Amino acid sequence: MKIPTPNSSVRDIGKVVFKSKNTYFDLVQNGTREMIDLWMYNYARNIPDILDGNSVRLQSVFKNNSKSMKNHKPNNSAIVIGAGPSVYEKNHLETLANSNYKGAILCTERMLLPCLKSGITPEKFPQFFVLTMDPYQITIKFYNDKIIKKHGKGISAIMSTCTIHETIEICKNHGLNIFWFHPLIDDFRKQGSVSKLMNMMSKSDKNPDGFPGLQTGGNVGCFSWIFSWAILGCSPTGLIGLNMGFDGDTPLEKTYHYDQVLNHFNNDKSKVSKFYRKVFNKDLGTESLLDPVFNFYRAAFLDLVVRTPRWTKTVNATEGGSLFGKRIKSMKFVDFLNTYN
Amino acid sequence: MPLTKANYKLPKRKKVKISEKLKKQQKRLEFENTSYALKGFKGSFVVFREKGLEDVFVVDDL
Repeated sequence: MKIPTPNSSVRDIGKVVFKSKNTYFDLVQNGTREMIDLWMYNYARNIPDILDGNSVRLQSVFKNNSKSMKNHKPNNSAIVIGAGPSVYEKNHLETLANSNYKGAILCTERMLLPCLKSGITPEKFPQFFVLTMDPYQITIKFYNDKIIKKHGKGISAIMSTCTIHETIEICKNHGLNIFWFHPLIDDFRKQGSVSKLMNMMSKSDKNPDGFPGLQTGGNVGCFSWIFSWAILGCSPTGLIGLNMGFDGDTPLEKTYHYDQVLNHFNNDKSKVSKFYRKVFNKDLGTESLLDPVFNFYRAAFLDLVVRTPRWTKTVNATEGGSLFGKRIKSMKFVDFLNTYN
Repeated sequence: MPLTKANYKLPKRKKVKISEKLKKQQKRLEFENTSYALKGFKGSFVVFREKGLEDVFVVDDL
């Protein structure tokens, strides 16, 4: 069986339905849509588990589906843990591990091991979630460790139906409780929508309506934030390790996506800097350097946060990075823990 | 006889056996890396800005 390659015809669909004037945004988004063959490759291999699996609906506090979301009264807060550099620079894991925080912990997959090793465990924090939405092989290593088996039974793993199958197998072996969702990857209102087709195939006796489709924001940090309030009904949601950028004085060559950007310009270094920008974080008084991918993620997050229901509060406790603006409150992590516990 | 590139015999090396599982993993990794290179940028999934979808976070009935 040949592993699928990017499907360039999907780019055309993206161009038709997506009319943003933001070039950076288009570039990443359309490039991403080309990965549809890989998503389908993974989806097909997950089908036996999907048909017998649990839905994220079981985790939802909105029993009347999302219609009751508008007037929700939250009684629990949440913390999203990303893998940005500040989480280590500011010792946020230790701070959390030593706290008596009672809310939900939402761990991006890359942070699962560091969290467990730091003492942030489901035994101490019973509402413990780990989330995966990327279809890539790299997710395997985030779950492949003995310590995960030790704590597996207490962990709820929120999995995209397009996750690489090997990751699902490891999670099953480690005893994690898997809950499925469909990532919304196209306009589901249209005939022949892939999101809709995925759901048709996932209907079973156990889940007669299939699974809900969730907006992801393009990265697992943003998706964890969406999950915290749109499914768990938590507010406020505190963010740590969601830098979405680098310190202002970081050389371009040291940024995470430099090689990919360089490759895009046929290794012409003089053109690379055109795709980078700096933003001044008014809340912290610091400068952040954005490569095109983080620029995309940041733009997506800022777009989404202003569209959330009024009862949601987003607190950026990262103490660094580029996320600030309308409906985002910046705060030190210790203050978040003291205020919202 | 002078030693030249043509008449010099390289020592034979033992072939390392790569398991099927590793082969599969290598192939997959190669594919993912090629995909990144082809795309230019790495992103995951999409964010809706189409009219009518701006506020959609959860779709209950797909």
